[in-house]
Amino acid sequence: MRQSKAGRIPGSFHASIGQEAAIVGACLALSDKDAMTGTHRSHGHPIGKGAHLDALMAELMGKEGGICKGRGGSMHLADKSVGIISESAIVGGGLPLAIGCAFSAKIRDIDQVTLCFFGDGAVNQGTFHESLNMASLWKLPVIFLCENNGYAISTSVAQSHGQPDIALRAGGYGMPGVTVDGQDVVAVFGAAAEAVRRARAGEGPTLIVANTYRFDEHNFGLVIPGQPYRPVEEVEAYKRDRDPIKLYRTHLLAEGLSEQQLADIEAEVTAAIKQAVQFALESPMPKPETLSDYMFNSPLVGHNSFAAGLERN
Amino acid sequence: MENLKQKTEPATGASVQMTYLDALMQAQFEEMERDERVFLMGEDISVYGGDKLVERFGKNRVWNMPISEGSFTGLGIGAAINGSRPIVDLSIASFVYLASDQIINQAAKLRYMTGGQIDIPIVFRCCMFSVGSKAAQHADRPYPFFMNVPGLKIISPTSPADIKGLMKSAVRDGNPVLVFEDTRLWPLKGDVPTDPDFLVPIGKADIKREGTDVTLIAIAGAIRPTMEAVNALSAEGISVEVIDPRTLKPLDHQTFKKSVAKTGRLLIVENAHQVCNVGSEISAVMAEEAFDLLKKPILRVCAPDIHVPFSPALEKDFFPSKNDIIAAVRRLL
Amino acid sequence: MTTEVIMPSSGMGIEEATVVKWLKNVGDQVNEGEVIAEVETAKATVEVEAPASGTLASIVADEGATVEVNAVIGMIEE
Repeated sequence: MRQSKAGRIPGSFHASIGQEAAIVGACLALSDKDAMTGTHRSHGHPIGKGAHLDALMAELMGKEGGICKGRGGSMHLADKSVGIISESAIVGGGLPLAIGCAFSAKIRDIDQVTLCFFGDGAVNQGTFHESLNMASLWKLPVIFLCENNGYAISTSVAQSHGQPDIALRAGGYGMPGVTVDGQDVVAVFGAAAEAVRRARAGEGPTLIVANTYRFDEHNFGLVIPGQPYRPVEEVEAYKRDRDPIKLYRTHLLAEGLSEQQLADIEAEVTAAIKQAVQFALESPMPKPETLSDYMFNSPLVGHNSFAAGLERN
Repeated sequence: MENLKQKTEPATGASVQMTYLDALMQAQFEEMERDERVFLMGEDISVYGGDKLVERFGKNRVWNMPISEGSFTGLGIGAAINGSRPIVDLSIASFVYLASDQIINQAAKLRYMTGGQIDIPIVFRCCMFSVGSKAAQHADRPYPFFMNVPGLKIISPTSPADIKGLMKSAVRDGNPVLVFEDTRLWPLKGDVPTDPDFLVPIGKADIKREGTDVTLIAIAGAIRPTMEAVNALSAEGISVEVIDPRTLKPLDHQTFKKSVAKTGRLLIVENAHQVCNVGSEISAVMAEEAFDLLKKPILRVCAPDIHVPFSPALEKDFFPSKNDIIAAVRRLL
Repeated sequence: MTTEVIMPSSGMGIEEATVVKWLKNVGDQVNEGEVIAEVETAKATVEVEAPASGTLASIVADEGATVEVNAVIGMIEE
């Protein structure tokens, strides 16, 4: 956020702060060979799945050293090497891709589970219903993880869902739907681990609704004029009482970890982030002549060649 | 119809006579035989000839889809990302609108947006059922929409050999390819090479007939009335060079330019509506790059900016006919 | 009374068909519903049934001819 304020992160930046437990708890239930899809808010998700911080930070800044070579940006942090096949900024756009990834694994008899993240807003897209139907029909090894942060930008679940209990929708497609406290990383991990077990055993998909909260605005710096769409007290209460990192810290201390041990971990994380920022700042911007790189798997020839396009423009 | 059988590729090895539709099925069959990652998916796909594919390859390679065009298209894209090579049959080209979000926002863009990490080897079949009183919701020719999308390749073969060779190239291409087949071409017969590695390259136009007076570029199903018109004109001594682009993206402008240099006159015939169609794009490029070669303004004959009507009485003259094409050629002379 | 024998419509995308074989000759008696010809489309071989009982008065589309769906291919005189 400091980098964003300094103007080093172009475009819109959708922080997932406040939703860490839902993300990490689910990702931890996967193995390296498993796949994941995310959304425009999936910043923490690639970290949870094991992508390298340096390349992620460089991507946020649109650098050549970015994980997507500066072609995707903050809403599209894919890292194929750790199974992050894409993050869709079209709300609900990732659900079909996730079931397709799982479908491919199933028909080729590969042991691979796909974890599909989406938000409460995406539940109202047709792709949610179509994808849950097909996943259930063919018992695909996929986990639908709804990060229900209560608001699709400014529109609350109550204002937009005929059935606000999202987990109930699973019943309509013949799969289990479970609701967990999305601020409790242990609870999310437990639900995800059971869903992974089911998927690997050929029992099909699970819908997990992790009730969570977005601490910041829809995107960083966004100002929505007029009456606030969520009470200031609600935001403050979540930040004060329901911060998943603070909650887990308390949990670990109760489990017997020492303050020193936690401080060491925190220092390690801070150092890694500093290093990532440094890497990103030092990484060069993509060269203008590379504009057309990565369009196709081999260059086109003739009039439609990229070179011809560049010349004309 | 004789002229449709002419091929510019030298005939090497054996070939057999078959219909366009059989050649298309054979292309799918051979590619499924060659590469076990290739599978078919679509609505009611295990019937209508698909039963032979089920018999040979089993149900795990031929998948009937629920009526969820948008999401099953996305399913195909996700499967392609994960290493499969799906052929998505969208049944009727008008249904491609339902699938267009996934095709445009995901299939076309993800390779670029992930910095080349993700390949999407996928083929979308869009059959154009334009005539026969299907009415406007089943009669679209939507290829112009997709031509405006970077990251897609688009083919529109018109002969049995071309559909086989181009379909096989599409499956092997490794990028998203849309195939627009006009159902009017399905029953056409022609010589089709039996070599399982017979390929027609994407991006190469075919000169269907050489000529000296006028260059006529015919798109997809428009080839049928075009050849009838050109045969009639030839009897009067008017020599028309007929080019079938075969690929709509990327268009083979070099071949068009070479022909225009010879004839100085250009007519484009197609069944898409007239606003922003293939002819618009070819005209623009020829105006930019071959203006000095043209002796007359470029003409286009296409469907009007009106929906395809249901009644046979209205539909009869809706698409470019032999007479429309003859009249347009005469205007250019 | 004369009844037209029509090229049958056999599915989406099939706008024309080719007469493969006439199973009756001109002058033969035919019964309503009896198969009198076979036609081939891009997708399948289709049987043409006599639309009425009577005499096959004429054959409009000979064997090998390709005509549009709904076109007249023969006549039956009742």
